[in-house]
Amino acid sequence: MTSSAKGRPWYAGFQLVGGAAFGVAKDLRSRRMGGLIPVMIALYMAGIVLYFINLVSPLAPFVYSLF
Amino acid sequence: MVVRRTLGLSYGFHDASAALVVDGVLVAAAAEERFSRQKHDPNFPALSVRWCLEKAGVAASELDAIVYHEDPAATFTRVLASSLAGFPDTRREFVAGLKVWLGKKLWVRNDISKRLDVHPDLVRTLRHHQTHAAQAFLGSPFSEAAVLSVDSVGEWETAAITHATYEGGRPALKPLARAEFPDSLGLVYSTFTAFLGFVPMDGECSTMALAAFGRPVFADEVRKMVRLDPEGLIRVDQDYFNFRNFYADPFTPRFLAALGGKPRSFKDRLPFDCLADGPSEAPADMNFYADVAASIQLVFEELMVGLAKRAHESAGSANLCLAGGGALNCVANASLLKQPWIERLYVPPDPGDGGASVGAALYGDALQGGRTPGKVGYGPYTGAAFDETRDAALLPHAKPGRYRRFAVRGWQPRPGETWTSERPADFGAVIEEAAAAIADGKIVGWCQGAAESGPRALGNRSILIRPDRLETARRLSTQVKLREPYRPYALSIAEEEAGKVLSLTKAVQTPHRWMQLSAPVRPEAQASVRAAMHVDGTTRPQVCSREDNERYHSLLKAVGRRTGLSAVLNTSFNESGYPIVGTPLEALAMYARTAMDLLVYNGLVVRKT
Repeated sequence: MTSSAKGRPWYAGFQLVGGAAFGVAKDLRSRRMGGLIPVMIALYMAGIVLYFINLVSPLAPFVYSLF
Repeated sequence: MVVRRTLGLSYGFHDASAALVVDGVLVAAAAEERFSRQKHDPNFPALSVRWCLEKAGVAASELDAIVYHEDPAATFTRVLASSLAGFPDTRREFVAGLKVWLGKKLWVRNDISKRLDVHPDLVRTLRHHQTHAAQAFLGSPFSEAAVLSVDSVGEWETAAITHATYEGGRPALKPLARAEFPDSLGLVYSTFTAFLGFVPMDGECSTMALAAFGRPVFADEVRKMVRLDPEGLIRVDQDYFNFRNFYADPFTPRFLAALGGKPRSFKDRLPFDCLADGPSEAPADMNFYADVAASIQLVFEELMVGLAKRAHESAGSANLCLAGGGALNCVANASLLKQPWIERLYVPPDPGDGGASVGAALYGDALQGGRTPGKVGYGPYTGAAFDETRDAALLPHAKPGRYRRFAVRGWQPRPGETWTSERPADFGAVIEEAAAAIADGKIVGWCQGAAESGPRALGNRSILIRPDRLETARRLSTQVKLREPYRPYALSIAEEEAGKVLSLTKAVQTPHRWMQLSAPVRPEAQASVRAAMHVDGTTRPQVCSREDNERYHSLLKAVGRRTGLSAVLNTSFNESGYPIVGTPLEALAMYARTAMDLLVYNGLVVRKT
């Protein structure tokens, strides 16, 4: 499966991850569960922290063993 | 001229699959399990995708759209809300759900974009029941129809009614009503399946089969648990069910009290046999389970008829398309077709999630316009075809005696058994040899061309025997299929002779051709198809015409010349718990391990001598 003009740009991950997070917030609002949005933000933050810890090799087992 | 290529994907829950549509034509569709050999494989369908692209000669970079079958953000919202609603009892579900969803499933567009190395803008998502509606309507011969989709759960929706039409060459799917989690008819049926000792999302067909042995004495109790609802289609009394807490049983103490019995352990053998000469005599505790199965089956049929009636009235259409896992219930489908207000019924070849990739690809393509309304979109033979030449070269080296220790329990190859293989120049000779073997009471493995999509074997990956030979059917169950005796076999019959055997209330329609309806067997014909008949006098027919499958139809006619009836007992070419075979090697491996007498793979004939 080859790269092309329609291939994946470097920012695709940020775009899609951000889009998915936004989609969840939108869906929560539309279902009158907007109160859960701060919970979601906290969970995303925790996820980001875990992502960076996971980049440090000696600490990575503490993260990926969670999943 | 611009060529449009749309890839549909379904994965993440069960029955992962991929489908490719090129300019409105479905060119390839296959479930991942057929390649990975893992039954109901839920993982990213990498092998199916590769095969679809190779078949069409398309690179991933040349795709115009990749359409995923559901909206992961909405599904995550449901997972989050439902695990918090039951907090603290559902704390384990909350943690497990977050791990799976935040760790992986929520980022499915990113996952697809990464794996296929495509621009993220090309990756789109649909609503799950929208996909089901598209899967059913765009494959149907209708230019407008009411669509009813029923399954366990999509994002939030568990059932939906849609009015489907074409506007300006584009499909218009107008949602009319929906049921939302936790009001799920599919989950109710799966809960009963779990209660009966079968695996949910797999053993529902066993519940349906077991129902024929019981009496619906608990139907009133079941009707208290689930009913039609004027607002939301289906209303489930949550006091009986535990859908939010998937680490616990899906039924509650109230459910058990209502039925007055304990769940069946999967170790308890069910003493029912649809091949038995007389009525089955079972102990009372086992009859209880058959009665429970009969009760949920009856109520399920009543509710499906009620939902279909509402679909018919709200859409104002006499054409009904069915999709979702609920459409795999062939007994309920037959109840629907009996209704005078349904003129024509259509069920896609794989109505469950395995076919959702087809719906996603067809809808993604059709939204770009240029579809011909009412044109049949696809048939069941969309899977992989394999050339047998390379694997056949292994045959002269095969030593059947060495496979003895791999043989299925209950069968051993004869001492000194050898295999002979041949590739007759004339395919007519292959058909005549297979027909003669079937007429002679032998078990024949029959593989031809492209595999069927979906769970039904329709003459391209089938095991065949005479339909009037109970003894051969017992041998098939115990020495080939390892199949539970309460599960009936299906019947393939040439269209010209279907009327002699089947008692049909309406003209033959596509569900009759694809084993999607049960049908009563005429009393005078029951002896001639007894092995392919259930204890209630019905069978699940494949009414096969020459246009449907020319080679298979020729085989049926050749059998008819020998036995007087152009029909065979047809069961899928797999052992219990395994996916249907794909490659010649997989077919040969099963042939080696079991009591199958003859194997035909395209033009290759293998015999045990």
